[in-house]
Amino acid sequence: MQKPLSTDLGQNLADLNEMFGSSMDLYTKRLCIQGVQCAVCMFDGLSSTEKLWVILLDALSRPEGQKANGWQLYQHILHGTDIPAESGEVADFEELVRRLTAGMAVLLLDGSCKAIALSTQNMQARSVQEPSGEGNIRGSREGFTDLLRINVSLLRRLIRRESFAIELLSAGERTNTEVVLCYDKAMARPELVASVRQKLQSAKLPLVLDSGYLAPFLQKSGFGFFSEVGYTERPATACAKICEGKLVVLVNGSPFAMVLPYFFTEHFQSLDDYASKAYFCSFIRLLKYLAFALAVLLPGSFVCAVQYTPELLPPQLLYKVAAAERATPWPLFLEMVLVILLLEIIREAGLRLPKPIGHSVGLVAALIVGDAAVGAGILSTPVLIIAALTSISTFVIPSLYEPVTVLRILFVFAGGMLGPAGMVALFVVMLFSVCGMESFGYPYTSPLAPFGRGSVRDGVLRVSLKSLARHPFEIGDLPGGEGQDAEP
Amino acid sequence: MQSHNTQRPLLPLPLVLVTALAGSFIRPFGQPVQQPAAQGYLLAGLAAAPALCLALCLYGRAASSRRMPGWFCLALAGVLALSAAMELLQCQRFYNYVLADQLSLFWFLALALGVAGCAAAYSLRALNRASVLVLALLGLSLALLLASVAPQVRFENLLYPADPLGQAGLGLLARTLLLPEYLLLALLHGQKKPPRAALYRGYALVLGVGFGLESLLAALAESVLGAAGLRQSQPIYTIARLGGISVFRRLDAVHVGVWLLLFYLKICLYFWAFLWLVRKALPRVRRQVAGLAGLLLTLGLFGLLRGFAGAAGAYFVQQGLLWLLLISAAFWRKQP
Repeated sequence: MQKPLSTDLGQNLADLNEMFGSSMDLYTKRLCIQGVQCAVCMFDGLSSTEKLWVILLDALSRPEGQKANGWQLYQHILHGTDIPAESGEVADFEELVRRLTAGMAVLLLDGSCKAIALSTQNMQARSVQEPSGEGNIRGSREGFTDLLRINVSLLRRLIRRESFAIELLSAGERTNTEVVLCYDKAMARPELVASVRQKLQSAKLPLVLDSGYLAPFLQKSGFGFFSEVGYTERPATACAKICEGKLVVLVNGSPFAMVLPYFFTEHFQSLDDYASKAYFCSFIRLLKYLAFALAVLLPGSFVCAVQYTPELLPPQLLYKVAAAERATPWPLFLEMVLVILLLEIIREAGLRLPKPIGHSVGLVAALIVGDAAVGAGILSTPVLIIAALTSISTFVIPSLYEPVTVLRILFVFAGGMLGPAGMVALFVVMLFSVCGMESFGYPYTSPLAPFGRGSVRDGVLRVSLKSLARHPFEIGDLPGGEGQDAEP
Repeated sequence: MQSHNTQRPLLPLPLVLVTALAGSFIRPFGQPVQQPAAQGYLLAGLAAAPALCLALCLYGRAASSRRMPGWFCLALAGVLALSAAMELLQCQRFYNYVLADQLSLFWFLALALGVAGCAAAYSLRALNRASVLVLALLGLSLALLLASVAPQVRFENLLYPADPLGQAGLGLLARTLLLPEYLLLALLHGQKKPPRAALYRGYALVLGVGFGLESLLAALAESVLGAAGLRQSQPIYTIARLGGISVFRRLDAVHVGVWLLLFYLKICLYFWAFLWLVRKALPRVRRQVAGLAGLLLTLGLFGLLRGFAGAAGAYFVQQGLLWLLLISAAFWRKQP
């Protein structure tokens, strides 16, 4: 759509109407400014008519002389007045549409092949609120919103350095969604920035409504349980990542900022870690790793232990478990899978239900699953306890919910059907999958493997902030990156 | 100002260490020499380890400055297939020995070779990183083992041999065990000429840790079991069975799980290296074809070993071939 604007005002308006059809929100009004026929165009709802008329009334009421043609008026408005017009020119319909859909009003002038864009944006958007996920005890309560400009301002407010760069890109052939790449020029590696920019620009998508749409284009192809990119709703977290030399991608319409590169250990870190003492933070992080291990391995290990290595369990526990299992009709691993799937259904139902009736999901689940099924002998109490403990452990690291849920079921099948050999084999495959991932050249398991000081400084454990401040972490400290040593 | 970490891992040390340690836990059934720990491991180990280290350093020095011929690649690939078959047989017997509910041979092989096939799709770096985590788990397992058997340790159970010199020679021979992964350590690097100092340090570390761990485990087994430990086919498993903490009286399943991890990684390394060597010698052979050839060769050798009960003979064949290959490095053509 590189069609240039015509000097004929009527032609431009006709073309605009033809493009947008009979869109009820397209507002156009002809007016006369200093003897020149003009027309103002905007989308009702994106632009403010009050702001527009304040600007135009000012232009209309000026006592300067009449202009001979639209071009003279254009030059006068842009360079001879203090009207807050956009400096970039609007010379073709593609740019015109882009400005209109960005919430600006565009002034078409008869006799001028260029138009003037006016900043009259007044979009309705969700206000800055505390994010629904990423709960914190201390720290900032602000979260990203859906509007890109607001999100950018939240970042700019926190990083007040001249090296903080924000590049505007576009994605989605049908939506032309604005995408922004944020990084610190002094810290981010130029090769990394160039690589990400190139991948974003070459991503061919019909529409982009969330930052997650771009994730597959930024990761290496092939299946993987874990993602090489991370997400955050908090500007403070995004700023911390930028200050480590990482990149943040924001998408218009999405409150989730994408962080890259992203490592496995970062799933176990939170903003609260730096607000509490080092020993407590280290304890909580170890607890999170334990919760992850429980979430993935506990159901499968339980099934495997009961079926293949019952001597592992203490005798009293074994008697109770054996008695409970004898009363149910299912094989143990099938019962475990059934309960896990039931809990997932309940979770999904609670998420999708309207709020007024959402509370009934918990009631139904408690009554049916917790009481009736156990009382009827369809499900056993030990399995329910294990499944509940596993679910709670999963909620400790919500960013890993997807891979944990699937892996948990796979481990149950492996442990139930093939015993310890099956469990260990699947564990090895999972280990290879995680260790084989590289996030933009950096090992995904850094700094755990290859083992580095970082795993003790600020990985699994955390040292005091004074020690951290002496040598702040940068992504360049990690082994890897573009152009690392070749394989044999 | 950006700082770049210029250190790069040159050698797959963690991976070789993990695979070398696997044999310390899952022993071959029918060990050739049974010796008291003080002699068999400590004395012979102190002599065998430096000798083996010297031989490997000389081999490494030759391998880093000479061009590896194609016949060496294929011969070593063959030895790897034989070693993999031996490991499969050994571990399958061990698995059925420790578990009351045995796994069928088909599923055991399917799991082991399936994991090995999966490993072939990943880089050596990925295997190396995985082995770092496995080493951490092994450390936890060892700590748990020590804690669980500590109340049963009796230093008076440690034995002294009646004929120290007579058995020392046999012990020295038995401890000078050449493993395929030792030869691979000097070959699997990402540079044309790796620094020799790093290679020598790598060999010293692997052998030092290996012999040290074997000595510790032997001493532990003997201090818990006494003279009965010499008659055990799987002494480490036996003491793992005896160990307990609080209400958990049988923790051997946990340790067996970790040892299975070591076994799987060993098979993965052998299969990965097999593919690498075959494609180095015959670059035109497709990866899938080489993988299929490795799979069939390993299964064939496994069937042969299982059918003819010739595991001890295969051990001597393996050692003979490995020593020949090690010595042959001195005769390779020098790199330009």
